[in-house]
Amino acid sequence: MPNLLIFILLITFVALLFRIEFFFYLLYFFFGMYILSRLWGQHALDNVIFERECDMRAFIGDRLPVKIRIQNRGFLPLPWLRVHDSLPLGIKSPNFYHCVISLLPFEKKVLEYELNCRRRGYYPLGPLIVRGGDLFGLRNSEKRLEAPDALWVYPKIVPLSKLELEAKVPFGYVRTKERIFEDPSRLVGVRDYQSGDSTRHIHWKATAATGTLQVKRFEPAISIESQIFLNLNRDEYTYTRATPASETAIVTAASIASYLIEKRQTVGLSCNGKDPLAEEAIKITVPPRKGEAHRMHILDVLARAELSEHLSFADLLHQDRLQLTWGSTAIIISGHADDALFDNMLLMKRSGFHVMLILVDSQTPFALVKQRAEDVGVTAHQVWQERDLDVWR
Amino acid sequence: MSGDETITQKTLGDGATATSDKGTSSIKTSRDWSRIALEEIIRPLAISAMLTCIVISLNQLIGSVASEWPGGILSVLTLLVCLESIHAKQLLTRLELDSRERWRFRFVEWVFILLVVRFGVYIKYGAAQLAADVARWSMDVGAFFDIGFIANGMLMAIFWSLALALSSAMQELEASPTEKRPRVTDPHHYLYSTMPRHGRIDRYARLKRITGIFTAGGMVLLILAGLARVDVRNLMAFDHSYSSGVLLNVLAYFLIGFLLIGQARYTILRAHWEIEGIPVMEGIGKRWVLLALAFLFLIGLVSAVLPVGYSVGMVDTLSTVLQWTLYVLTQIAFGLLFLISSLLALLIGFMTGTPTETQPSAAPVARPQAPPAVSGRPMPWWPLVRSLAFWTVLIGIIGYSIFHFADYRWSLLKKLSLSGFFRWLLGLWQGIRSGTQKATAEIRRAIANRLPSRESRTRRRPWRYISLRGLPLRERIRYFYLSTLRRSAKQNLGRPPSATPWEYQSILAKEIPEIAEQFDELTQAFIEARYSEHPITEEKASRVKNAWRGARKTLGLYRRRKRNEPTQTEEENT
Repeated sequence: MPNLLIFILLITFVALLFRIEFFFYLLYFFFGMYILSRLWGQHALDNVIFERECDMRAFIGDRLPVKIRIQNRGFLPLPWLRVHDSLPLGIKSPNFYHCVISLLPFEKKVLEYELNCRRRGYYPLGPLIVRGGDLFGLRNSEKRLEAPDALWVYPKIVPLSKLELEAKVPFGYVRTKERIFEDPSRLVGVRDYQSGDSTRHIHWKATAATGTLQVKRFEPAISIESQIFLNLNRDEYTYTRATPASETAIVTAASIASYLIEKRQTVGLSCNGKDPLAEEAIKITVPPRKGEAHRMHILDVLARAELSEHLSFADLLHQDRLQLTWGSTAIIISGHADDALFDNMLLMKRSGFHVMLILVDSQTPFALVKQRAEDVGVTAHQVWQERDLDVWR
Repeated sequence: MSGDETITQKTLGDGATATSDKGTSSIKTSRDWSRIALEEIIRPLAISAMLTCIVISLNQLIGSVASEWPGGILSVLTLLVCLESIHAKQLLTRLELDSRERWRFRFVEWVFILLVVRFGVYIKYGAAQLAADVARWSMDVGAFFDIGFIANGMLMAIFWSLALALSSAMQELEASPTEKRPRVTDPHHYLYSTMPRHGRIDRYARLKRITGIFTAGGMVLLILAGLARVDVRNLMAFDHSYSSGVLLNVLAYFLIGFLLIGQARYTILRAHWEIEGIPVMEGIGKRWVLLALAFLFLIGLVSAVLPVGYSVGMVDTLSTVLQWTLYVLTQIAFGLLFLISSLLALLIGFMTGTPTETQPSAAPVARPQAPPAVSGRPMPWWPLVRSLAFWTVLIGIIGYSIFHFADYRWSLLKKLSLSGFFRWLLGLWQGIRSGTQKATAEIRRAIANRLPSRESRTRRRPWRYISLRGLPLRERIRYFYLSTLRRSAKQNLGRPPSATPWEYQSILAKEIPEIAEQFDELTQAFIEARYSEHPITEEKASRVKNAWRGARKTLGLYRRRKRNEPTQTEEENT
């Protein structure tokens, strides 16, 4: 009603001219309508509170229900309220949720929709925008949900049980065939004393019972301290397979990390991908730790990791291998193996690390790569798709 | 939160959801009965009743001077004509008649309306008058079209048009199937994407038209109602008393008008939601009407308790307010003086031991008189306060309206004040003048500098068109590239006008593989020199020159080879 103010002035003039009381009432009525409508439109959303409620962690394939709770805590009714929630295309198609509702004073409403976690990733949700206005279109107002929400969709974790890793850090939890790594805390039996056995390992009770010297037999065990090196440099993948191959690499890394932490081992992660929460950083490094919290930390990082072009994999290996402790295992997950990678692996072997290579997008025949890896003392595996991880199940 | 109403996609209004799923054709089918009733019955009745309210006041005015005027009949006829106008429009939309049939339809309609208007008034005048008039018309056919009939006919035509305009505008606010975006695979998508504004109707222009008719009609109604109540002679002399009481037709007009505008606003929003495929909660339309009624009732209630009469004039009221203010200030000053003098008298009494006699105070200031009553009635205290409240409210309303009106419309003018605008114009003129002078001087100087050097260059090397060494490095690289293009064009390998340098590079490399390396360097250097601001070094220019020489040589070889090819073929043939 753009000309309402002119009309109010004209009514004033007519009312003063004719001195008809009813015209003054009309004048008040028009003016009141104009002012109150504007105030209504302006302050309609002042007492409206709204929040988005959903789980912020999910795995691929989950369907997450999202609830938007809207409550009018004021006396002003809201004739219309347009709710618009912007969402990433990876989890909602079309990439928004919108609807129109109406709220009476102190009325609450819950809006529901679903997110389809089709792809791993870090998905900022929102902004959630609510628009409302008065009945006569004199004023509209808008309110946004200030608190940003984000959804982590974790990579798929393939349960592994037959993954064998070599390591040389003694006193761990994983049994090994190499007797050099006997753990004195794991007593498995006794045997006859032989020349050269340490007197500290004599089992005196058994000796007394049998009458001959018996020494304790310990279960050999190692501690696998591992660092997963994950290549997420887009240029080092085949152009057409960059996305599926890198996803397979991430699934492999998540599965191995999960397996090792289940085995109560320490595991870390080095990755040359991009973390959307750390725009400036060119690599992601998670130092080796153990425990459930650490597993969630690694999964969080793997959920967020994206392909990048900033740091080559060779540079990443060169920088982060210096942080490894002697005897630990480097699990290298890469698109393909080039000379620089072999050079780095050789250096690692010479420095006393165990190296395991997993290729997810080999551009050269894998048999050749495997042969070359064996030449430098590295075990090579090929994981072309998630199904290939079944060999370690 | 057990009391919360949970709304999922399924429980939202089916209208918009259905349209978004089923496409454009389902907009019509999604109309429910309440909507049909609104469009077919309630809205036409509301528009007709609103317009009839104006005619009632007009008839009251005419009736006050001509007692025989058939006002009641004409009011009813206006209502019927307005309804007919809206109904005829809906009928025409449904029948989809061609142009000729539409004209016939309108002709028949108007003949009927005019006959009803002509003979309808005899309900009041009676059968005897009709018989007399029929006899008169048989004597003189022209008497059929007397001034009263023509005036009534014109009145009906005006209200028929207004009803049609309002109804059409309200109808156009609805979402139409053509506005909905078809799927990309739909054959209509191209049409939709190339239509101006994508076929969208400017709904706010329609709303403006509706409010324009409403406010203009309202103003006419107020003036007519005012004139019907007040004697014009008294009005001219501004010597008329108050009139009170509710004017029902005026009240009805504005009430219906506001409800219609509220409805129009809702229709616009609903149309936008439908076009965008936004699901809408059920029952918003009903809530809208109820809230609008409650809102208007509340404002009416507040307005009813505000003072509407004033028993004192404006200037007198101001004068009284001023006098009272001065009176209060004087009383305060006297009070303070009295306190100080009493204290001083007490002190002097203590010091001298004899009480000081205080002088009798001056005569008290007379209270201001209340302003004379406008109507000459006695002036009690309460009406004065009501008058003051009335004027305060009225001045507040007028001040607010004028201020905001100016604020909305003239904000641009406020920014560019008149003096500033003239200063800007003057500055512009001076800038243009000085700029022109400077540019002319510059051109003269440049010509004067260039001419001798050009002459000397031409004198030194009269046999060369271009001196490569004299060219800037950037220009030199451009020359190398363009020269190669010219040479390749001579071999029928010219650059197609649509090809970019890189596209042409690949074309030429395919035709003459030997030239690929040199021309690649030339192209790269040309693009850098032509489109970037990178500095060009002498070394780079010499590298490009070598490439250019190589390319020239290769092109020469290609030319010779091409010339020999037919000879070789002929030899082979022989």
